[in-house]
Amino acid sequence: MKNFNIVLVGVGGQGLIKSSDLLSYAAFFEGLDVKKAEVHGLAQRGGSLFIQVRISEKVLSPLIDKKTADFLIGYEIMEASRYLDYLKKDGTLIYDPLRILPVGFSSDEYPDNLENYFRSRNINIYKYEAMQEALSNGDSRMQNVILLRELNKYLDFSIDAWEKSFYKCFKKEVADKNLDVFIGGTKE
Amino acid sequence: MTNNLKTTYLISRTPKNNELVYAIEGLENLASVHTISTKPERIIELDYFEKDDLNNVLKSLSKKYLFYEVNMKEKMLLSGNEAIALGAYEAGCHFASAYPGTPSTEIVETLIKKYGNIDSQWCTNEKVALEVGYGACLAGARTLVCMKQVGLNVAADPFFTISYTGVNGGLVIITADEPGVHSSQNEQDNRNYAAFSKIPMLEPSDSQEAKEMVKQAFNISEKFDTPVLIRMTTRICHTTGIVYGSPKEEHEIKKYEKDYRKRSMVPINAYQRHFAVEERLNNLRKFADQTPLNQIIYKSKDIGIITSGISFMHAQEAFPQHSILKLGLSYPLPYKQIMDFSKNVKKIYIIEENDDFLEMRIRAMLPEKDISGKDKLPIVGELTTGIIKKAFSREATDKDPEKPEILKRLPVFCPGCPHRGSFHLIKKYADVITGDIGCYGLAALPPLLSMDTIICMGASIGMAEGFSKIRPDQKVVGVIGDSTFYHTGINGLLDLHFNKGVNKIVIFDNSITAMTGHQPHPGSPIDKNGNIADPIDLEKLVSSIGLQVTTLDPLKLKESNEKLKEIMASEKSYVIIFRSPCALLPEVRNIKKKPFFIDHEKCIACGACLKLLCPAIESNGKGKKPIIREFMCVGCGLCSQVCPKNAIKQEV
Repeated sequence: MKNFNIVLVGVGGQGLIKSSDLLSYAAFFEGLDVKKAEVHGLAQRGGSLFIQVRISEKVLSPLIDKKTADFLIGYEIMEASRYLDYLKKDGTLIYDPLRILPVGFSSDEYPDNLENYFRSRNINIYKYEAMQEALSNGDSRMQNVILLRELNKYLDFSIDAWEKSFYKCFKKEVADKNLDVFIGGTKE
Repeated sequence: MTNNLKTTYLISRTPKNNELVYAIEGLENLASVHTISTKPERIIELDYFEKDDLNNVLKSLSKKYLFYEVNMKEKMLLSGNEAIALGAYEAGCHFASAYPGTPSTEIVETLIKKYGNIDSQWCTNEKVALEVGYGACLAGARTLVCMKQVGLNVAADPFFTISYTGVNGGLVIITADEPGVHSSQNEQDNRNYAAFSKIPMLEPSDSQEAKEMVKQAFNISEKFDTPVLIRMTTRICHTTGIVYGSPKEEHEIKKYEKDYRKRSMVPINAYQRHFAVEERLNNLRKFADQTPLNQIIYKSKDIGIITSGISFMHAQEAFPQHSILKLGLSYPLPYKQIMDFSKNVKKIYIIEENDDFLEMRIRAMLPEKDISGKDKLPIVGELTTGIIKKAFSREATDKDPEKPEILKRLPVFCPGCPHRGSFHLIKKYADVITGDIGCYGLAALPPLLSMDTIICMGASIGMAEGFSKIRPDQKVVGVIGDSTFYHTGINGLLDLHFNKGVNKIVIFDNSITAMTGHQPHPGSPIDKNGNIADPIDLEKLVSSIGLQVTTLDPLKLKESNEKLKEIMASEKSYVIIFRSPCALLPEVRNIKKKPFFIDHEKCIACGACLKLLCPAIESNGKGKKPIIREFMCVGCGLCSQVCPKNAIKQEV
């Protein structure tokens, strides 16, 4: 039985809300129950973002407690560290090593020992340079779809469900373009 | 006669008596889901089925159980707010009004976008929204009025009295509370308003229930001649879940009949109406004991949980083995049901967020019972499954492992935001800045620390006046956004003139209600549908009060500073309008401006540009030259204006 607690973390503006919509609809079209919890308003203005998606036969509480997430998807490496406590033992961290400096700090203050911290924990680590791939495809906005594609290697939702989700969440032209990246990378 | 459809019965244990029934799937346009049943116990397939029989079965069951007639083919993912909007549509609602406020905004936003047949509007504030809504209700319309939790404080004046004057068409009021204070100025628990005003209250636990409860609420409103509250919380409003659509009900606009004894609350009439309110409350108490909105799920009888709203979901997950009394109608409480439940379980856990609203009342009913609640659970903040589990067990909390030092990532003004320029200009002239509710509240955070107070919508002006009256030696500036000014700021400005206060008042006019996602207000150039509006002339409005007014451009620092200097030196009250549209508005974003760059040959690393706290400017450390992240720069040019060496230039 598919049963996933997934936490998506990153910085406002990285497309996390869109990602969580795509993920929720993929689960929905896979015939599963899903609940997605997010926070709007002041929290969005460039601050750190934390979205919870629970997928199962039947989901009750929408919230994921610390040490209970199966997956933590870090769209930015420091945000991944901030919320690492949410991963359960043997849970999987999927992260992009991308660094986004918070306003009010200088680049030499950005911590450089984060990957050691990841390795010190009893978790599975999967690093994927999604932003780099997105930039080499000429569109930084693709980062979120690339990370979802990598996540789906674990979730194993059908391409059909993802396709339906993409057409639900994007306009057709945008969906086509994103699906190319999503399916292209899956085939490899 | 017979319907030769293959029909599937999804069968689960019923909450009461462990009888077997349940959701019926597959028959066209007629099926029921029960949100409490977690998983079907068995699935039976029937070859055929008589539709009339089914209707009779459903009818008898619906007295005991909460049945929703849904179309299984119309399955969608909706946030709680979108589900409320769909519920209003299905309930045949005619009119909706609101002032935007997180986490309630998307209800009326969805109504405007998707359900144009409901006449929906943004009002100037929550009090006005409720008054407009109440007018529509008395005229005979089914009416929905939505607000965030503190919005009900603004609307409290009409709210308490319409409890006395009753309804014509159904009136449903949504209060969207914020346990956890994600985007509000306090954590008030608006369930208290239900008891205070003697208005019944429903609390949904997920999107499907939110939709269904709107329909239930309209029925209760019309049946008992009362407004009805639906209390949402952030985790219901902003959680997306599966919802099944239902057929739309049709309701006529009701006839209006005059009744001054009922509707004109002069003291003698109000006194009489109070009797009617008490009688209604007694009838509602009886109803609470009969309605399937409240349900008991018996499991192990050692412990029984009483809960409502989102806590029901957490509690079920924390303690799947315990019996539960789920309160869908959480005011007034079902007295008999609670007594029955208490007789059948040894110990009671009351699981609720924030105040001990249920607990206080249940303890009073059951003084001898072994009850646990806020003795274990926190009053402050949200609950989760984990918090509940830990609270009721003796498990020691294991320590979190050591973390590397992680930098704070606080929200900041967006690149190109006019508030950045405004604060850069004002702060050097002010000893004290009384602030207000809006994006500009971010100026109160470090490292900007340019705002002394944030209390409520409209407070900045009156507070500035009062502060100056006690400390005339201080330069006190009140700052307020345009939407907030129209909301309740204008009253403060009237008072400033009336009581001869001497203050400089700044209105940030970015043309829209920005923080909640761009809803129009009376000064906006566009209306709710994006059509050209007939905006109020803010300068004329302010000068008609008798106050001096000047309009400045916050993105032109030098020019605006010269004028500001003069104004701040004057002994008179002044209203300064900083006018520049929100940088996130499509009409601003669509004008693509070339990004700026820092010429490192000229840069002396003085840090002047960094003080603007623009997300597009990246510091490389003290004494080092910063860079501009080209992809984030929107070309507002503020940084080039503060640079003493002209080192920041626009790309050509």
